[in-house]
Amino acid sequence: MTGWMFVWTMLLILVLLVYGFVVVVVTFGGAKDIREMLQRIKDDK
Amino acid sequence: MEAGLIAESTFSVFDWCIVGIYLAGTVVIGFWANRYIRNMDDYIVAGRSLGSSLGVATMLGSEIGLVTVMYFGQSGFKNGFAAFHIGLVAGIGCAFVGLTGIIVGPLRREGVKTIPEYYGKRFGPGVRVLGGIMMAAAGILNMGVFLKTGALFLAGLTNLNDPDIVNWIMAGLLALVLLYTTLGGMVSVVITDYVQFVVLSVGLVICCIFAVQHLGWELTVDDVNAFHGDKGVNPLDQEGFGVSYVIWSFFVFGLISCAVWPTAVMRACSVKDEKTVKKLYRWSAIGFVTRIVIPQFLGICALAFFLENDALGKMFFEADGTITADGDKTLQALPIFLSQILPVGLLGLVAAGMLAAFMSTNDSYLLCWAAVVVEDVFDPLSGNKLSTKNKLLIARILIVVIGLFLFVFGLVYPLNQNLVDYLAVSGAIYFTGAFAVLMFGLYWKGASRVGAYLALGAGSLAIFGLRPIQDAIGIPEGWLSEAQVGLGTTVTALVLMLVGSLLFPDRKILRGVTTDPDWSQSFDPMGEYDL
Repeated sequence: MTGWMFVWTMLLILVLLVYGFVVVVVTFGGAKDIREMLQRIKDDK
Repeated sequence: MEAGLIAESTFSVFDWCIVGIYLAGTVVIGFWANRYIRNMDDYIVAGRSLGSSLGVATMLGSEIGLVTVMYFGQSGFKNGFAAFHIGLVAGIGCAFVGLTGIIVGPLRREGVKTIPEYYGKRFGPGVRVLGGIMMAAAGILNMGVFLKTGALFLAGLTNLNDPDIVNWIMAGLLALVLLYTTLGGMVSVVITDYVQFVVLSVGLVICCIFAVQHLGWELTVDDVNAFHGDKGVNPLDQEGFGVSYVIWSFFVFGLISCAVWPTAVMRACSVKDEKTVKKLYRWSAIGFVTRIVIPQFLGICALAFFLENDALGKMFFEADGTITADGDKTLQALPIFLSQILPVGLLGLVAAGMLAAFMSTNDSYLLCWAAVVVEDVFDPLSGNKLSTKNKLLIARILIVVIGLFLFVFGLVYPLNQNLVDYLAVSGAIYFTGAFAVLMFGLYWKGASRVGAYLALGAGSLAIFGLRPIQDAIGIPEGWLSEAQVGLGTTVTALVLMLVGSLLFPDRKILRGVTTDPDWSQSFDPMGEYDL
């Protein structure tokens, strides 16, 4: 495996692992944010 | 389509049902979100009330679109692992913006809704109008190939052979986007973006797992390395991308796409405060890498798959073994590959996710360009006398008009260059000038109105990177690359901004002038405006 290939393999593994984590966090956090956003707009009316 | 005639897709009625239910759901959200629209702030920036998680979801929901997946898939298919460098530099660029707050931090502090609005505060309404026109023109041109790309994806994935049917489906999808965007504005856009982010992200990761399971990692690497050689892994190899392309990639996909590209900046302007802006970008960095690397990896897997499969491979390779120069075919490599490896049901979910992503990108872009034309062209020209009701009405009409233009443009424009290069060059008409104006305007008190006019005008030089323009004026193919045109235009805009400001300085600094309600009544592109 060349140096470049090692870099791209590590990048791919990192992307899949970290992105999986981000998706989980954002999925739950985003649902909470939507509720708050709609409430805030409602309250401002 | 020729490709569809050969490749048998497993796309079933069950898959179509999944797609139908999903798309119907997004329209319902549009109708429902309409209840929350009260004024232009709600319509364009969702009342500036996005939290950081929703900000990340909606930014990535817009940035990971079907078109993104298609052009980065094509880039992986044609260039191998070396294409990953684009994702790497994009992530570094986004993290840099998140750590420093460069451009987006000061913009959020200004409290503006669009970039041209900042031009107006800093340089006067003339620059704002010119900036708005350049931005909308480049953005709409950029969007021009979206429909065609979406149609190619759908044809490849579903094996629909009749181009007319595909075009009608795409027109129907565009109509859906127009419906829920005109009704619900940013509130419906952020909610649908959130749902689309979740569905598409999960779908993409599952596709990668299936691809590796089907082909095996070692086979993929060996096939691609044997086919491309060193240029397939080394982005600095002059026979492949080369140094100028890597620098261009960092500039376009790193700095510009997250700090200057208006749809991303609009998100930054929608969040609660500057601290949240930085947090949003830091979290989005991994998303900016992912939106590039995962489609590229799937494109690489598609290459390995078609290298292993002689019958299907004939669609994509010439007699001498090289990849076909036909851009439409290389764009279809990824969807055809997915149609061959994914099972029934999952194929429908991926199609729904991708079509949702297509809608997600289109809704954000339509809203963005319509908002720019209303707020930064019509309103200043009318002396800031447009009522909220009229602004909303004009924005909604513009969204429909732009949608119709895109439909016609997509049918007639001959896309005879790589999609990713077309998008970078058409976007460069706006962002090269905007980058110069923002950098100097935000960080140098001496930046002047004349410099801003010159820099924005210089952006139009980027059209010489479009292949049909090069053909029309007789520039031979390969003589002037897109990266060279883009970098040359950027440097020209920066130099003109500097020289114009030094030679023709403003006598009075215009910061804060928009707090004066009468500021726009004496509209004069070169006039002086008192504080």
